[in-house]
Amino acid sequence: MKRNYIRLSVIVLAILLILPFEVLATGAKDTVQAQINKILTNMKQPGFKDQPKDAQIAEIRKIINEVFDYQELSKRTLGRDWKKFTPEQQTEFIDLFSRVLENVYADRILAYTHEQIDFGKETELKKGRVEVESYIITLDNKKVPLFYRMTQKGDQWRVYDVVIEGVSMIKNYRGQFRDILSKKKPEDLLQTLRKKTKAKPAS
Amino acid sequence: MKTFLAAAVILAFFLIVGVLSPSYAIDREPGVYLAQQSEEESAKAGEDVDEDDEYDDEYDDEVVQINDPLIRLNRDFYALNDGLYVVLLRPMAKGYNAVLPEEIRLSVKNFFYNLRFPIRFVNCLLQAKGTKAMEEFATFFLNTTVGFAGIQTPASYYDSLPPSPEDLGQTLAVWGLGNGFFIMYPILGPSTLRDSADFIDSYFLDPVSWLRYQRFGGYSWRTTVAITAYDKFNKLSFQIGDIDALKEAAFDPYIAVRDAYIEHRNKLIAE
Repeated sequence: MKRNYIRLSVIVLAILLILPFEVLATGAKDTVQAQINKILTNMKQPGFKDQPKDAQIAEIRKIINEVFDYQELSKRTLGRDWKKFTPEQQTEFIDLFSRVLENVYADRILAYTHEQIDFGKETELKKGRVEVESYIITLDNKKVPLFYRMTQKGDQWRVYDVVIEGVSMIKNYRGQFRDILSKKKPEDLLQTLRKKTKAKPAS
Repeated sequence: MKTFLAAAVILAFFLIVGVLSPSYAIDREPGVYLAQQSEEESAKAGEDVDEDDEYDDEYDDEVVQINDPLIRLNRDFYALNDGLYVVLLRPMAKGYNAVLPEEIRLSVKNFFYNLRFPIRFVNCLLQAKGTKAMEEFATFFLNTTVGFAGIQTPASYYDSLPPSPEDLGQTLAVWGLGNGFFIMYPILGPSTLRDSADFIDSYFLDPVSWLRYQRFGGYSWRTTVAITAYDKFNKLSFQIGDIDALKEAAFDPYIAVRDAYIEHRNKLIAE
């Protein structure tokens, strides 16, 4: 009898321990999954493929913008260099950098979405930050790991980094920007960004 | 004589790597030189600690740490490789893709991947990864027989048989050797001093290079180079989109490629 009580309390304790994580665990993955599914349904709609590529990208971009947290992303990318920017420069940086990323990400999603996308587990990195694993299943049945790092803003989960095959996007950009900012001023970096976004006009 | 020469080359390689990597595993922990540098930097940035708390996490100011003393030469070689890609390889690959259906190109890719099984198997063993070695063996067996000499990949339908692309560079890393420094080889692309050990892999464990032995026909080294070049080109034909996207996305493609290479290698080593 006593043993049953112990067993029961252990189970209750285990459930109590798991519960908060489970609650946390649902939000982030659902957000990404919903976003991917939305893009997939959008792409399957008749007429989508007939549009010019720019229009396709623009449509996908709209969906991406709902889940990407560009402010968080920009801050994290620049790291300590963020403080070298004036508030106006920061605003412009977020705007320009987001446009660069939108194009890149939308273009890649377009290239890969005819292939299957599986979702893996979700791990908590730190309080309020999780990593959602997804895998692109290529035509020859290989798994390409594509992990989303997300942070909680209010009651919503937002993407602040994408890690492909172990390569973190913001870390990669940080290395490049740090190299540029070690020799040049924030204004010069903004100028480079302006040029880059102008080459591919955003809608 | 030849064996002696090969042994001498390998010995020299290990000596150089040993001497030139001041701290073991620069890829995982910043080396001495880099640590000093970042200490100085953080001392400078120390004034605004208050706002740092907001981003006080593993991500905050981390950049990919890599020794790159040859950066000027490396950049030149990157420019050369990129020029070669833009002018020659990319148009060629586009034409190749237009002529040859994807299924055939995939078969070629799979065939060569399967063929290089000895590299993966031996390096699994060298890293004492018994389970992975067995998985590799099972994969090789299945793909070679059921998969028609590896052109099909029936093993990929088993989740219990994940591919483990091990090589000597990773083995050395597991043994505690650091990257040394980054090298951008002309034509061959990004590597590090340690990862250059892959040449040893290719010489001894790559069946394509065994063609030099009398038993396998005693072909000249040119045959091996030609076949390897074709394999690489065939692989490249799948990557045009990714390469173009990376270049399009990058502000400094050289740094982007370098850091991505190191990070990707770190992931492979950790697995």
